[in-house]
Order: sequence, then structure tokens, then C-alpha cells
Amino acid sequence: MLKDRKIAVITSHFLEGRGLCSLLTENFSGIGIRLLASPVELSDSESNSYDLFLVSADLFVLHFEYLLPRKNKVVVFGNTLSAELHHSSLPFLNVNTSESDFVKQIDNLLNKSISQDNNDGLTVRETEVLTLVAKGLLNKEIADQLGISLHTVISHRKNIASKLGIKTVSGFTMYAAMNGLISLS
Amino acid sequence: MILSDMKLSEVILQHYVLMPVIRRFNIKLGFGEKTIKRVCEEYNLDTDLFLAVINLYIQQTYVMEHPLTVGQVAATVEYLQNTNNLIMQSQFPNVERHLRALMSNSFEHNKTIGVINNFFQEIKNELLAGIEYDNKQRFPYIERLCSGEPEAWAQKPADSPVKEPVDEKIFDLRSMLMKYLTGEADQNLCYAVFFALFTLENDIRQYNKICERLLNPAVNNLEKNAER
Repeated sequence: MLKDRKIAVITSHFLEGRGLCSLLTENFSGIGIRLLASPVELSDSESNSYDLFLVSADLFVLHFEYLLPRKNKVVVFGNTLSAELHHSSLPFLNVNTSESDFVKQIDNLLNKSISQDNNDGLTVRETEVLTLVAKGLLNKEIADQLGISLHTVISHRKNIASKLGIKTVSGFTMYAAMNGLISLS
Repeated sequence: MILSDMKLSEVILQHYVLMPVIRRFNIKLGFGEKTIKRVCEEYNLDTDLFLAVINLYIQQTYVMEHPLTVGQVAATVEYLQNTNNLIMQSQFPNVERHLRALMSNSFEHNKTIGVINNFFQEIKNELLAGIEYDNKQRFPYIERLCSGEPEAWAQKPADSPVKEPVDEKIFDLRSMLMKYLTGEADQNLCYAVFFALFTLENDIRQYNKICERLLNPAVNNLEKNAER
């Protein structure tokens, strides 16, 4: 089931990264693994070819704007302390556990994230637009931030609303909060 | 279409959504085999207005033949005030009671239920602002118009502070609850919240429809007559 899947392990800690990569290779045969020190190393097209991003908790916080639109492919890992600080609905892998338990957790998460739809059929760009709408940005500001035209923003918004059956601007915010794209504080 | 010589009990058995409506007209249960006309006489209600409100409730396209009279305008305002009071006194507490139970019953702290609760509070505050506007500005203004107070039309209040349709926000909230709830949650309580939200949404939609189709046209007429 996991054969031919591509996984990106993203951590700035090389020892942690090498360890995780060899653990994955030993336990899940046939999957492609790449170790990265930052998600920014990936181009857009490269990034889309990955099925899963295993990201260390500190890098997740640094790069969450990049990772959240791909959230159904992202799994965060870290120790008990970072688990307590982890305020998002994304799956979290705690490394303070036994090896067999850790492998079991990865197995569950891999199966789950691969069987899920990618963000209810939203494209990465649509998810980015939705997140910015939810944060209260105006269409013009969204267009500037993403480097697209106002017309494109409006057409993305229409598509998102029809894909998700949302009627109001508040509905965008509700969706983003329910799905961990923004945090309510 | 519901007519005055039909039995109230039969109408309500067929259209159970009318239960809250008769409550807002202060009609108590136990009306036996009486016709709508008879019940309205007993409770001193305007039969035509009663029929207009219930027909509007069950039929999207209903149009009242005659515009509301001054007396009917006052009775409509009273009905809408009752609606608002019931929203505040029973519907809000009902949703909140279930949400609170849901939050304390869920196995661990459930983030998505917290999100639903936050948005419900936001919607509630917005509705309260709308109700306050109605009670303090709009309804007193309409009462002054009805009583024929000179120059009443000149004190027309500014538009309502509510921007987005609240019923649609509740629709969105309800669908979030249905689609994106994660983690452990007591399903019985979830159903209770869902139906309480659904009823609230429906009542607000009806409230707006009564304003649009019955009250506002009559108020516009009163304003025109007063200005002459």
C-alpha cells in the first residue's frame, strides 16, 4: 500500500533526520525518502510530487505558512515538550516512546494521510486564498500577497465557496479554524 | 394554503414546524377540535394576520392579499418581540446548555467543539445587537408611526447594524459541525446542538420573511401617508 510513495523528512537536525530516514527504510520497504533541512528547498512542482511531509516541530512553526496549505500531507514530530506546545489539528508524532510504538504510530499516520482527500478537493492555491480570507484580508491584499490578479482572487473565492458549500465570509473563517488552517486566540 | 375554517390541531399535526409559531402567539396547548377562527377569537388575535404568518411559514411563495392595517402592524411587532424574547430566553440557553455539556463530556479537550462554541458566541452577540436595535429603535419608531404621532417619520432610525445574513452564518456553523468535527464527541449532544441550531436558523429566516413581506411594505405605506 505504501509502495512508490514519496516522503520528505524535514529537519535541521541531521542526526534526527538520518535516524528517521533509516527507521523508515527498515520498516517500510519501497518508499522514496528525501532528507531536507527546510521545505523551502523544494520547488512547487517537486513539492506536489511528495505524498507526505514529516516535519520537525521547530521547522513546522517556522514554515507553517508554506506547510498549512498542504496540511493533509503533513505530520509533525517532536518530543513531549513540543507536543504540549503544538497548537494545530495536524497529527503529531511523539518521539519520547519505544521504537516499536513509534513505528506503529508512523504506520497508522501514513495509512491515514494517504487515504484522505487533499483538503476536500481544494487546490493548494485555493487553500492559501481561503486562509488569507479567514484572516480577514481584503481581496486586493490577497492579490498583492500571492502575486495574482484581483479577478483571480475573486474566482478562487467563488470556487472555494461552491466546493465547500459555504455561504458567508464567516463560514470561511469557521472552515479554516475547524481544519487547523488558522488558530483562534 | 391554510384557511380560517380548518382545525388548528390538524394543521399543526401536519406542519409540526408551526409549533413555535403558536407559542409566539401565546396560544396554549389543549385547543381540542376548535377551528383557527375560533381559537383566534378566544385569544383576541387577528385571524387574517395569524393566517398570513403561518402560511408564510410553510409556503415560500405566499402573498397576502391586502396590505397590513395599522392594528395588524402593531400585532406583527408584538409577535416579532415575542420571537426575540423566546430566542433570548429559551433558544440561546438551549444551544449553550448542549454545547457546554458537549465540551465537558468530550474525552479530551476537543478543539473543534471549542471552535463551534466560539463561533456560536460570535453569532449570538451579533443577533443580540440586532434584537437590541429592533427593541430600542425600530419597533418604537413603528409604534410612533402607528399611533399617528406627527413628524414620526422624520425620526426614522439608521439601518440595522447586522451586515451578513445571520441565518446563513448559522447554516455555515451547522454544516461545520456536521462535516469537520474531529475527535471524541457525544453524538446525542451533537444532534441536540445541530437541531437547536437548525430551529434557530429557520426561525430567523421566518422572522426576516415576515419583515420583508408583511411589515416593511406596511411601514413604507405608513411613512408615505405621514409625509403627505
